[in-house]
Amino acid sequence: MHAHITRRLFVAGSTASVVMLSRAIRASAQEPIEEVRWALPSINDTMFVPRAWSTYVGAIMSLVQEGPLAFGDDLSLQPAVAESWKQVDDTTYVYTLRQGVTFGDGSPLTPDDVVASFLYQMDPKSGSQLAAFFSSVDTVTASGDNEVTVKLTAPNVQFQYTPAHMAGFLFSKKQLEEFPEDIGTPDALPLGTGPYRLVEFTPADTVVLEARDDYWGTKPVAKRIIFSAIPDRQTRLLAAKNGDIDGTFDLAISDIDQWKALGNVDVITAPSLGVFMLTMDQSAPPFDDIHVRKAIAYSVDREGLVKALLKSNGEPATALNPPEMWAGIMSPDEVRKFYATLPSYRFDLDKARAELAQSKHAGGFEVTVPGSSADPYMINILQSVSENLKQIGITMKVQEVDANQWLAGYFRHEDLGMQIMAYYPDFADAANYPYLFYASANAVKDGMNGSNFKNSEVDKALDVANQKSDPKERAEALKTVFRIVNEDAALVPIFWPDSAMAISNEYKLTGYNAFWYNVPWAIRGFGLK
Amino acid sequence: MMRSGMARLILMRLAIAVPLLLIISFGVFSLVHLAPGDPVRALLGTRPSDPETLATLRARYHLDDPFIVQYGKWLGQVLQGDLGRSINGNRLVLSSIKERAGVTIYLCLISTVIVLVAGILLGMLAAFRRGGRLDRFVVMFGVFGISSPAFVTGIFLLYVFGVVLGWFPTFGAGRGFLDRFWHLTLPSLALALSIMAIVVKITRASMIEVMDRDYVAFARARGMSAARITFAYILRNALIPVVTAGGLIVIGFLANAIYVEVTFALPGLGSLIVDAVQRRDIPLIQGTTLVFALFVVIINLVVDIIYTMIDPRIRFGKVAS
Repeated sequence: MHAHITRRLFVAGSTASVVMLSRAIRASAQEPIEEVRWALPSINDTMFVPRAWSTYVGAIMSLVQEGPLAFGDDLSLQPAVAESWKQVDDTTYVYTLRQGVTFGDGSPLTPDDVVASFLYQMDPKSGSQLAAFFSSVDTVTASGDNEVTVKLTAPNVQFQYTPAHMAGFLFSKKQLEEFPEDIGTPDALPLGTGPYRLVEFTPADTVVLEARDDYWGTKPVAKRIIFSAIPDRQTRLLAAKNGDIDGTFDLAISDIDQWKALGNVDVITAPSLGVFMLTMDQSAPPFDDIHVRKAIAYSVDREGLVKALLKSNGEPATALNPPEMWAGIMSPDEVRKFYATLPSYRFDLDKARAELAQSKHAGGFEVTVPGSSADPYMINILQSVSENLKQIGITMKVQEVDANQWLAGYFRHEDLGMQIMAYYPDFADAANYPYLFYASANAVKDGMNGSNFKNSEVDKALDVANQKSDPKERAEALKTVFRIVNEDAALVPIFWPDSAMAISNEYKLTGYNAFWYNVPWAIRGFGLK
Repeated sequence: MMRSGMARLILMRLAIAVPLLLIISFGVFSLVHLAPGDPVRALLGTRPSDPETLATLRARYHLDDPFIVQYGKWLGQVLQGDLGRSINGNRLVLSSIKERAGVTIYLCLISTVIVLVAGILLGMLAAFRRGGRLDRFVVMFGVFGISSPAFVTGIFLLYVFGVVLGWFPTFGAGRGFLDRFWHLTLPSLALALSIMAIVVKITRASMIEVMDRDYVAFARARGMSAARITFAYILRNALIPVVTAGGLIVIGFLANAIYVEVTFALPGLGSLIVDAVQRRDIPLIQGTTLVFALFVVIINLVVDIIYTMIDPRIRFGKVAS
């Protein structure tokens, strides 16, 4: 606003001075941007996260709704709607809400809204896709005029992140009660306390956001953001080439070179904190034999796959956790040093052959592995591994199925054999992946432990890592876990891919990180260059 | 007499449509159940899930009931005019279909006009210049269009007319009649090109056949104008097979629209059904296929009506063998 007035005063002067001044403003303060056009591969039929929990809905709704806490650029927890929070004891968290926070319709946010939002997620009748994040919660109460207290049934370190990602989004209690079925659809546009207001929504097509002047935090630079769905990868590329869109998230890494060649956009990459892996069901032959598992581990050419599939935008995985997942416990460098001390299985077909020869299946065997055709890398990974295994006498058939069939097969948890899995996190905590993939509690139907790996020492260490808040204690426990599972070849990590986005080279976005779908990205260093 | 005949035809066709729609809906329902996959898993993605919530979701969409009970519940709902709510997003299936149908109908209409006008004209041209260079060019052009998939033609058109020339937008369906027309021009063209060859070839063949008939030669001998012969004698008689194929063409558009809608980022019925199938969203799949089937029935009926208008023999049920 100020910039506009200043500029108008100078219009009377020479054109040159206007240009110079406007450049100076661009460089110094944030010049407002009237409209930003952003593309996403899809736009859901609803913008109500409990019924549409996806990264694309997150990229939109993180600008409209927010939780008590937020993730900073370094992925750590920061205050948001709650100006402060404290853990009173192992199972009690108290959130003190900021004064003067309002919803997009001007109504004030009260502790009752927070309680209603959390209780909604917890109620099985809601059928929320995010209910699992509240499984350790016992009660949520408004404990003061601007205070909410959450009590857990048992200590659980991972709950601390729930108020910061999509599970923590705060809804208007009034809207939840008024539109229990239609909230989030065009008939009841979802309200939130975030920097933007959702003003228009055509399912599967467009969402229009308008900046709020009355937002409590950083004022948005872009006044309007228009999201459009462009499912086809080539069309999205052409739209960017034509300047019809200003940016987009979630590029396929295999298309990165084409995007870079456009010339009018910058491609930004960041570690996604995701991991690709092979699981092997230890409860049945042939993968109950540790030598077979090691033979498979040696047969995966991680470096080759990172070069060929990720064009080196990623890292070969020597363990389950990407180094950045240890945030708050160890620095990435420390993690890499620690990983170097673990048993690792660098691609070596001679060693693979030797391991197989020691096993009960020295003559080889046959295995069929389903992979999702919707995933950009899975089928290619499997085909590469299959070629390598052929050379040591194992016949691996790759079964290409659609995403839903692959997922349903994995979670049915029957006749698992070998499976491929890709996992992306909701928060950066070093205990998250190990608990999901190594805890015996998860070696069940609808659980993630597709290796059926069960080890009491690991379970005990995971309990410590999940329940204690002391970083040192957690680090020691988790190191124990990683030593045991790598020695056991409990699963075969493949790579940690980067995620990539493109943005018109008129703009910048400094706050891009792994959680682009969990942070209000348009107020995190977005603006004119 | 004529009007009551027509009414009877329509009533009879609609009466046959009811069991047909039942069979189709049951068939699709069975196929979705036979296909591996799980709609609730599509909701939760690769995420760990809360067992109680999972049970609630399964109960809400009757997923644990026996197959035939599930179908019965769905049918009971439909008979009351309720297509239910989608599993993904919990939206009324009818609202989703209403929202999406506009784009697809508009797209198919423009394509139909392009195909019929351009296809018939090109077919006539080819027939008149039979064996000539123009004939060969037209037929080759048609074959080229039909043999390249609609999404390839789409990307090509996008590149030439959207990016290089900048005449048309690169994505989206636009708002309002004219803006939408502008947005849908390239997609309609891509869709039309994928099917035009059928009309061109049928028109050409049937024109050639009719042109050799004695009554055409006789009309010429009587000294009638070339235009009158062409339109009143040749074209009218040559059009019957084209109209028959017309029904198939419009239905074929629906199938190809799926690709075109994805390529041009259009929120139509085609992309709706693709998403629904990928997510095993049973109420949405059932609802959209029902609408598709109904559409096919109606198109066939319309074709039959046009048919009787062109060929009075059919109208009076006196087709000579």
